[in-house]
Amino acid sequence: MLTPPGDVLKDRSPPVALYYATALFLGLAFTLSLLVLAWNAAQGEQARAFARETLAPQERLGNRLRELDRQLGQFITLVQQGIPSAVLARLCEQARTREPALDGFALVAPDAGGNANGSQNLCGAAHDWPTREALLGAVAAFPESQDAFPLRAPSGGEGHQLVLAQHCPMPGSVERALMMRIKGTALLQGVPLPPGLGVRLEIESRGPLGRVTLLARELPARARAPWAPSPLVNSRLSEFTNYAVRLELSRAWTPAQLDFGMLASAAILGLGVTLLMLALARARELRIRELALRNAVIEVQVAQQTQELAAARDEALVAARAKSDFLARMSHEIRTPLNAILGSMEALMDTQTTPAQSHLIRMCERAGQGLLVLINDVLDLAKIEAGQLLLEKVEFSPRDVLEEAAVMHTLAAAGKGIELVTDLSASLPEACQGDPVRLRQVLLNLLGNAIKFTHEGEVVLKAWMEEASGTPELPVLHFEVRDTGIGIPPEKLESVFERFAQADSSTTRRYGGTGLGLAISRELMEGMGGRLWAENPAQGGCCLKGSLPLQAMTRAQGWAASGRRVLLVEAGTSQRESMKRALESLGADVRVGADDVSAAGQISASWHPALIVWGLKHDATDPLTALDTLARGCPAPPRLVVLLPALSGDLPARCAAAGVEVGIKPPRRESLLSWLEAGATMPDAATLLPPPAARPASARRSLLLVEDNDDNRQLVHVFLRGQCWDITDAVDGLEAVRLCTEHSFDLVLMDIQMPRMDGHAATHEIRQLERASGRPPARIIALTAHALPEEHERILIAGCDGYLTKPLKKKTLLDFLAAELTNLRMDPTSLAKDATVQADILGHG
Amino acid sequence: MNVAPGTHRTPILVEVERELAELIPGFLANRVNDVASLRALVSRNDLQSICRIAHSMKGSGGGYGFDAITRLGGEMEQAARSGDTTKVLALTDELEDFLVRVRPVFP
Repeated sequence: MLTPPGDVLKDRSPPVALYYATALFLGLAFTLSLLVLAWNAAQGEQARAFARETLAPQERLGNRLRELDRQLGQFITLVQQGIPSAVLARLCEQARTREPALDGFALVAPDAGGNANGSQNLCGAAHDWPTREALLGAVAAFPESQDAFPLRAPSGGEGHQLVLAQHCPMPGSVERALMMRIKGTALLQGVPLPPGLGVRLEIESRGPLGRVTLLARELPARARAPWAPSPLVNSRLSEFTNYAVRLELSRAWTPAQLDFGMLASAAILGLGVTLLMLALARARELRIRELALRNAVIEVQVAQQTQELAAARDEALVAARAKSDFLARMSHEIRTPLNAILGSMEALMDTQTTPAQSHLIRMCERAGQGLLVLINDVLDLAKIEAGQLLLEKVEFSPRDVLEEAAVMHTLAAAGKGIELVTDLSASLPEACQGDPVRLRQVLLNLLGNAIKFTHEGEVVLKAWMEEASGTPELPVLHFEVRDTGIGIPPEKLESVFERFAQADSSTTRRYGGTGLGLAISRELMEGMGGRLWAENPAQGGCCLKGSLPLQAMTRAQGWAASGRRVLLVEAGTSQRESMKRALESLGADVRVGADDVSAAGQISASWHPALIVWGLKHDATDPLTALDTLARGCPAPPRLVVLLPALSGDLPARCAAAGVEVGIKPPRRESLLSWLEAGATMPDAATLLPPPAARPASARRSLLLVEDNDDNRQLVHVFLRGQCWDITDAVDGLEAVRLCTEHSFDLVLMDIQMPRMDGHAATHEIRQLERASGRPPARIIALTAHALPEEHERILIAGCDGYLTKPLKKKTLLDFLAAELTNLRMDPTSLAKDATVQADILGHG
Repeated sequence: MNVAPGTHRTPILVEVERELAELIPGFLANRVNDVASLRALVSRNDLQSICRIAHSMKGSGGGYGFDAITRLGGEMEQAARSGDTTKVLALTDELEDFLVRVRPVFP
């Protein structure tokens, strides 16, 4: 999966050879140029040394030649002046002795053929010397037409004797016949010449001799070393009027004579630079390699990190699933035995027990109920955390939800002697859209908390609707639960909403509870788009406030003033005020009294009540006598209602016997309305009694029992014996679908796990069948042994209306079916959700 | 069964609704059959069938008042799912012990 770093390097390696070749080429070129420069410099040095060497012989030669030339000039002058030959001969001898290079002067007499070989040595013996006349005669004999003497190179004589012809431009001049004889070897005599030096001396005359070599000594090494560099040559031409002498000095040389230090320095420098270039190339290669390696490593790391992240995410997902699963399983595993314990307690309570035993059993039951609540809370929170909180959007009456929440706590409040007051504003709309179940859960939590932490005084549930300020905004439902309990320290007002947090850890010991209620409530409120917070009212206790934007569907109902006179006797101020407001909002003319004496003061001839409502505290004395006195004070007998904190003791029965109606505090609006209605005599208490578990079998209902387990089928048959249900059995999903095509059933109890076709598939099929045939859908209630919330959701998604958890208990089944019967009577298609909720509650309980 | 009913063990009294009285013997007999089936299935390593029987026990026991059978069924289902046949056998033994000692009591 991952590319090994080596391969990456190989793939991306740069053209290393090119770098090296360039570096090597540049380095060598530099070295070569440097060597050439050094060579040239060394050679130049040699040449300069040689030039200095040749200076002395050349100067010496030049000096001698000038001297000879001067003497030649003097001699010619003398000859022209006609100096006697003997004098000339003497002078000639003097010149020869003084100047070794000068061999002497000669007169040349050309022969008849024009050749000048008839020369005569003037410097010879004195007798040879011609007279002037002879000399002039000889000159005159020269052919005028000839430019120069036809002279020959001297033959005979000694060594390198050479003859120089002096020729004169004037015809007939003596100079034309005069020659100077020079000893070539002596020209350079007395000059120190190094042994290896080649010397060449040449003379050029304008005469017919042309160029004649006077002296030549060849370089000894020239022939032997063919590869030796060309020799150093230095020549110098000394020019005179009638002739020129050229001295050429040459010397062979070998590279060994050069300055090798310089060459070596150049070579070392060049090589050093080459190495430097190579090092640079190497460094570049290494850099590129390192970069490539680093990139490869980074890539590998990134790939690894990506993999690790993916793995971590997968792990987290698995862990989340496992957690949800674990919670569901745990809760199931705990709930099953817990239900058994609670059931046993219930059964035990019905047996004959001593007071001590009853006390113990109640303790057990309370503990068990607490544990159930904890498990449900934990499950709720887990569900919210897992984002599985599914909010409904259904139409509901906020007043109903608020009143129901209060009613459900009347017993608890009465048990502690706390006044429970509902102060619900007339501004509450009749119908809103939202999730009533979650709202009720929040309200139950808040009320439960308030009652738990209050020991005396009251708990007030207040609610009102705030109109929307603009079109895009929704009206806001405000509610608050205020108590006169222990309160919350100001610094803990926020932290009470944290999980497993209570204002004081000691409260856990004193009041119990999981500490999850407020956390769940806040999560729920925020999930619905609302808020929940705590405040400390000035008068003590604590106040939890909530606000929730809700779409109002039906506006608040207004009630015309009926002028019906009501006398309200109630000791509690809050209760009295809220009830007065509630009655007045229903159109009544209300007067109040805190007790019977102040109430009696309200009755006069002009104002006497048609209805007297008497609110009773939990520890109040029997109100019937006082009530009777009040009623007697009225001209017409008023309708009498006593509001009790709870339906307990013998008071309800005695009230009924005395013709006094009984209600529960806080009264619901329906109750108030029914009391305000003239002539209604139906005792209200009846509606508050729990519905009978079994209803008369007035109408038979059909029930399809889909269950593969024989034992469970028999069980349901026995449980429903004597009920209004006609039961048809199906042993699996296939049979159930088949039966549903032939008959229609009011209710289907559908096991989920079955062979051949399971409950999900069967429900799905039946729903499709119903849609296809257009017949009203049957109520399908799933039976499942799974406690997983996901499983429950799957059941509802498959098309079931609710579910019951197995094992089935008789009471659970009968209560549930009783509720179903009510639904069927009202409207077979409505209230599906309520059934689910009820099933949920029953299943948990 | 290995041990004759009620020889030397403490009986377990389970309160059962009177109207179920007629069903109890059949129900318990079915569970005794389950014990035999479970042992056979464990030897064949047929975990799926064990799971089915266990799930069925879990779903029915409590309805009759035998919450222990529901508990055993639940545990056995878990054990079978995780392939723990040793645990299944242990739970089968426990079920057998329960069946031997159980005494339905009708209030």
